[in-house]
Amino acid sequence: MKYKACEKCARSVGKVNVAGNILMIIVKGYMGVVGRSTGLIADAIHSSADLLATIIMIIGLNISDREQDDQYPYGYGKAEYIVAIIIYIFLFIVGIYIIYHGLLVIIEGREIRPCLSAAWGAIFSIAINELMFRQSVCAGTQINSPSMVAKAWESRSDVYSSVAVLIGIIGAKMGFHFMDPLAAIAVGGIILKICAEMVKESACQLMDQAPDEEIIDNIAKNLEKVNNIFGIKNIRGREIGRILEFDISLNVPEYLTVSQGEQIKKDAIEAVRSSMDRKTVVYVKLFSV
Amino acid sequence: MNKSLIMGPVTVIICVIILAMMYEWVGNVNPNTLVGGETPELALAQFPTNTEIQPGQLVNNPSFPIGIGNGQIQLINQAQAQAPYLGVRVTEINAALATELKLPPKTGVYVSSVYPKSPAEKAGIQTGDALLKCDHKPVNQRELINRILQVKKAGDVIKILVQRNGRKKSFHVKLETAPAGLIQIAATAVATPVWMGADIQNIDAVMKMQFKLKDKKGVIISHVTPSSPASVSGLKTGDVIRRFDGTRIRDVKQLQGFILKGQPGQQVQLTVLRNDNFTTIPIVLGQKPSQPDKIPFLGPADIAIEGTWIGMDVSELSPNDVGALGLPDGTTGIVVNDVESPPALTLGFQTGDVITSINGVPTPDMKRFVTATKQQTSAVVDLIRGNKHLFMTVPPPGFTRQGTKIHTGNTNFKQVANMQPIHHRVAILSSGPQLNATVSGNMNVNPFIILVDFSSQSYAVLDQSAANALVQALKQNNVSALICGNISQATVNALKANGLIIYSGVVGTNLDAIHLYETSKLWAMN
Repeated sequence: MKYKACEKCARSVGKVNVAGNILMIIVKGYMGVVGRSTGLIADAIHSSADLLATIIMIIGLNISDREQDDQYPYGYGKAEYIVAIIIYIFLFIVGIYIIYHGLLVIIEGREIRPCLSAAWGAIFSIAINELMFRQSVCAGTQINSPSMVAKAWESRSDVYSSVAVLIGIIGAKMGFHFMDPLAAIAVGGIILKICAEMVKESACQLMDQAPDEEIIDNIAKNLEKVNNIFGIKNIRGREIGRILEFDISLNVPEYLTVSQGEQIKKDAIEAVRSSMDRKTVVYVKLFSV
Repeated sequence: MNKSLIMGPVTVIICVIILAMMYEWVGNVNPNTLVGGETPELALAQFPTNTEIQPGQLVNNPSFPIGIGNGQIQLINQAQAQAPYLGVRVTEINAALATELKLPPKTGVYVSSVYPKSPAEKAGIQTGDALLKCDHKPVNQRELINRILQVKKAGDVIKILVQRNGRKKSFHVKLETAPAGLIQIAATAVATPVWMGADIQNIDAVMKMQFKLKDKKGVIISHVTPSSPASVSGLKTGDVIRRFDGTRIRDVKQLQGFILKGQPGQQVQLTVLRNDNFTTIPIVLGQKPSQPDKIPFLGPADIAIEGTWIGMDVSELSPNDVGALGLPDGTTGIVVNDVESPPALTLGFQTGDVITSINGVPTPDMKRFVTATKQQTSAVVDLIRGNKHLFMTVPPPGFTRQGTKIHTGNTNFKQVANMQPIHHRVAILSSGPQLNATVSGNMNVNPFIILVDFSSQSYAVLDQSAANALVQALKQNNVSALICGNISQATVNALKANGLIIYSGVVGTNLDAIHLYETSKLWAMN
């Protein structure tokens, strides 16, 4: 860590993201309407999609914290995915509408004449997006969090949509009036892509998709260090919201006493938890060989 | 689940929906209507098609955007050479004519004559047809036809839909270049003075309010004569002329002096305030055309629909009146038959004035006139007097035209519950349940009855339903006198039979009426 403030900076990344996106929605929406640029309005909808992703994540964190009750003995973790699927299907429809309407405008040959204030909106959006990207990458590197850096690179695509909008506005200014709706269509395509990915991911989580193989390998490696184990029979994992759940079957010698078995279970759970940076629930079963 | 957790995504989704709606709107909006868009001037620039050029009138050049410079003259000549020509003379359809032709209002224009050997005649269009659609676009003003023709060129074929004897017919008209004879540049007609074609007026406080102006500088355009230099260069009613060739305009006199000093054909720059934006509009001064020939009208149904407003008797303008008053054909409006009492008397209305619109709302018939007057506390009335259009302002009751208060009524009245019986009460028929609402006379709109008790300086409001049984309501509440607007004779008789004193024909707010009553300035009906 380079400076003392780095940790504080890293913790603020989420808040900055939300604030930046809200600001961009307002500025782009306003500039888009005042400057009559369909592309910029579409980009504002794109920013809304990003904001929704963050909000869903926050909701997910809150729901996962809620304890399970009699009615839902496994907790409420998966509610997040249902919410996400509904919201993204809605956004998907909006994206289709953007593309449809953009095509309509081009086919009918209506002239969209954005004014230069719309271009300033796009430039503003590019600048804010780039600054947010830089902050995430820097903070992620300093506190050694590859996931934060990866997320930052993912969100860099937001810049590209704003660049497309800027090109559209400048093109329209030069007399190619189809350029602005074309930019809107491009942004609509990006929204569709985001939605499709998010729906797919949420659906996979609902279907109890296995965690990354790396994680499984990591657990296996850690378990081998535990005493009195012959081998690992099976490891199953799934995500419930932010919580990882593992079902581990271990092969142990048949002569062990119950108390020894319990000790092995405790050690194994400890070993798995120590290797995880998330809240983890572990069930261990022992099988005699 | 936590409430704020749901609110977050819901807000963003609503935001997205609003944005999507805005997205559609921006995609559909016509760029020519944009404020601060690139070329609104171009859209305004229109030159009259040849059908409209009167003999003796100078042919005006269209106002091209500023900056074309000296090449302008050549451009105009080219434009005129290509200007297509339909060959009909049209007038707008007024209410009487619409009924005659069995047309819904605001549709079509009336073909008052067809030029011989013109494309229209060749196609089969006849005098007396109602022209409904031109090039698939509905038309109800002749300007619309001009606008459609402007983008066409000679040789183009357009479809024209007309209604003849109640049946719809369509014709294909091949547009031609106008024959040279129709364009007469009247270099010889110098007898008439230099002319702009716009009636102008000084601005007073009520106009300032109605047209949402920031100050009273300059002069306001009350009317633009069709196909005059002013209309050609895109001046509109309600525009405020602030500068003439860079010189600030203070009043009408000054501007008229400038115009009269000018030469026909001279181009001047007018700085015009329109919708809070300053635009510079070039205009070529012309000469006043001789009066166009009167076109005989179809026999109209002469029914006089009468009414009253602010102390004058008015009726619908009939086509006969149009002829008698020497107005252009197709003029619709409300004619003033008699000016009886203030405020109309003091405001300067005259018998024979034709009211064409109130606060920009056209009043072609009595129905719309009544609706327009009902909603107004102050009004800018667009009227025709002789051959002049002018704005007549009607200040809100209790105010002068310059926006100062005439007198302040007693505002110490407090509202109380209706308790009976108190002696010497006065009732007011009111359009609203407050003292600053206006006095009403129309029993059909269920007026409120306000009971005023002068001894205790208080008032009570009766329910609107009480007006249904007015006489009973007044008797029950011990009312001795009634202040109201114009009420019917039947109501008057019923009230008189019960010994009530009636002060009718009162205009203004209830508070004013109370004040007038207190100072014994109201006159009871005999």
